[in-house]
Amino acid sequence: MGILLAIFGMVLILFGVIGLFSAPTWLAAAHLGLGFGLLLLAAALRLGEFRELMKRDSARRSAKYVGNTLLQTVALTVILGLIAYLSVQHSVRWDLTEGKVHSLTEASREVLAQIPEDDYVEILAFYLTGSAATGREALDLYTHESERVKVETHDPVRRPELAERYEIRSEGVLLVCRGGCDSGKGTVRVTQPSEEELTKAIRKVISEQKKLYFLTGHGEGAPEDREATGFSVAKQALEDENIEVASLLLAKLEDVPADAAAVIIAGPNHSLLQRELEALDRYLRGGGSLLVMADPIVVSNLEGQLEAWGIELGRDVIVDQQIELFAGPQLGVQPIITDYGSHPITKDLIARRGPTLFRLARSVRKLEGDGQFEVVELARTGPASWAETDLEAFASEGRVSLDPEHDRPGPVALGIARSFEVEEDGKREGRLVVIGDADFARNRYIAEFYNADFFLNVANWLVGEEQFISIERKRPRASRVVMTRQQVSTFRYIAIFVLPELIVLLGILNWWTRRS
Amino acid sequence: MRHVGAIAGRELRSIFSTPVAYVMFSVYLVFSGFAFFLSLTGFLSALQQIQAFQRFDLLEQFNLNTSVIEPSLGIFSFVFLLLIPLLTMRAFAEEQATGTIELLLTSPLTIWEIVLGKYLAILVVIGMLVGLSALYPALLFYYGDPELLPTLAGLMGLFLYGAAFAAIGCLISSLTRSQISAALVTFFAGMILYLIDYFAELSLQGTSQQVVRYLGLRVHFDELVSGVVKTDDLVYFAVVVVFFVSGVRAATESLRWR
Repeated sequence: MGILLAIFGMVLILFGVIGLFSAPTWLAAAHLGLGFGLLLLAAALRLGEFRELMKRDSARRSAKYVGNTLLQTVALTVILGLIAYLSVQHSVRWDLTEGKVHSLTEASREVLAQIPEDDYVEILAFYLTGSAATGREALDLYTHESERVKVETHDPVRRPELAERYEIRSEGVLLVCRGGCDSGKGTVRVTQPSEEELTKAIRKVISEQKKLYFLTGHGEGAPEDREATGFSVAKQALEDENIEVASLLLAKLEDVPADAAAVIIAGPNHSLLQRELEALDRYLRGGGSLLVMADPIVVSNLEGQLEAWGIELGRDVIVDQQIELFAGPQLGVQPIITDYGSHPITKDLIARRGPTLFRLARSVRKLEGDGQFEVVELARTGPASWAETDLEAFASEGRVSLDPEHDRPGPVALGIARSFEVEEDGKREGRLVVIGDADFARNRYIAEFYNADFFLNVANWLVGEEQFISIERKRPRASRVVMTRQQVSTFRYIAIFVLPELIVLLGILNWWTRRS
Repeated sequence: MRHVGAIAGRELRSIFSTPVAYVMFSVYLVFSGFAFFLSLTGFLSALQQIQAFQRFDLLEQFNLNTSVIEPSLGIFSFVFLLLIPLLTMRAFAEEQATGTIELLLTSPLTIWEIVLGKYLAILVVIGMLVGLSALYPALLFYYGDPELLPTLAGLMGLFLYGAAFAAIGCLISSLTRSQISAALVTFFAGMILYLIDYFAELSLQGTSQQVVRYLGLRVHFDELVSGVVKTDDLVYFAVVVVFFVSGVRAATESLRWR
């Protein structure tokens, strides 16, 4: 009876362990509890028999050995378990791949090093059970690199209260929070568990929020405007980058607010007041950052001010080849840009070969004679394009033609970035970006191609967060093998046929020789 | 410990005295050869297609280690799962079935010497299998330019995986007289350790998942194969070997008083 109970107990324990993986927890626990209970009962039933047995010397000796062995095994298990635990807690890691493809980039490491010592970043990953492997590799790199990154994975179905609290509506969402997700210090949502997205999110939650102003009062597009010509999508994208967005009526102020990390002039229709231009000039030369997005045809006093800053805003419209459905290549005023100058703003666009689409753009050019600063042409049209100066014919009849005397042949630059040296100590350089089009960032066009990336790259560079712009993805080093089909066949024949056959024959011969 | 070498030599001679070892090597070569040349042919075909379509920009993504060596080592490890039980089944079970274990136990040898000698012999055979496996990457190094260090890490991973699995097999062999039972139980134990991280992935979360995943052999092996050497993976293999070889010693010692 006792033996039968013990066998039943062991079977229940076995299925209890299997149940931990496949059945409800209560059922597995019940199996385990009942199994151990039956084992105890079986032991109790055999207790008398056991006492009798223990009276014999040989049995006592055996029991002593069993006891010793059990004790040794338990001690060894504890020691080895402790060693294993410590090895996981203090693991050292070497990535032997030449491209270091299984390690964080230097940019990510720098961001992790910036997490304050008395603070931490918590990442709550919401994955359905069975799909957590998706983000594990990337997340493991962060927890391994920094003790100040903590990761918890939850199943939103099994933990509905957490899903409700953090408004998780789908799986695969990661919340990156400073000081725990209940601290309210800042949370960013990530849906792609890539290094690029995670590092950006961590950077956002640990960095001081920058403020960016949209100038108003001259018919500019407004960041709150949800219409096609507004900039509400751009505003949301900026806020997702941890940049606060506000409007600025500079006409009412003496100077640009001190907390302005950058100012955007987004397609003004009218001239600015002279004192506004002066305030902007002081701001820029004092280490401020300014983005001017100027549409063609509109004439204001911005052109004159830009000339003072060494940049000419062309009184023209760029005509370029464009592709239209069923029409093939033809001339148009929506240039698609794939030619970028080398600059932190364009670095990731060049790497990703990302095109950007502009609509009704004008040329931008560095003025000759001002050689004291570095100017980079951010984006250029193709060689088939030109800057059409006959705006009257274009506006009234929609007619364009290349006039070699007045028009500038392509490639034509439609975006320029430059820096200003600042003499005051402790201030960074002044930064100016001029783009001959505002439409590319308006709600209607910002989702086209890589327009949003271009706009955000400009904004991040202006507010001094160029490290946000791109985190270079690591790739394994390309490798080749030069083998003909014949060589592959020969080696395959040797490996799969000749060698195995020889080995078997050798074995049989060896066995036969020994046998005889 | 001076007799460990002699025991290992005797054990090796015994392993190679039957055709089983040769058949094992032969089977390993057939399976591993199929796996390797399948990956290599796939790699070469993809390369040809890219060149035919003149997509030279995609050539940057071609890497022999990730496309050929890593998947091949993964399959080699699966073949180990089938072969190592055949290697370890006789180590102790045969001695018990034939009664020769009593001769060993009554000899002046210590139990540690017996156990380590036998285990060392099995490690030598596993080393030979890994050496055979290394011929395939060697071919790639001769005709191409894969990365050396991740390849060596992968081969080391294959050896450590084999060593850990063999330790488990030895313990099971020491607990029975039947070689068939030893091989079957070792195979199932290996299968469980090979797949346990899948089970953990599918049914557990949080700390329990981490603990169960840590127990799996494949997780640690995969890290090494991908070219990442972590001290906790190395410690894992060492802990498994120490634990199970100590188990073999305890089981063998128990024969004295059982």
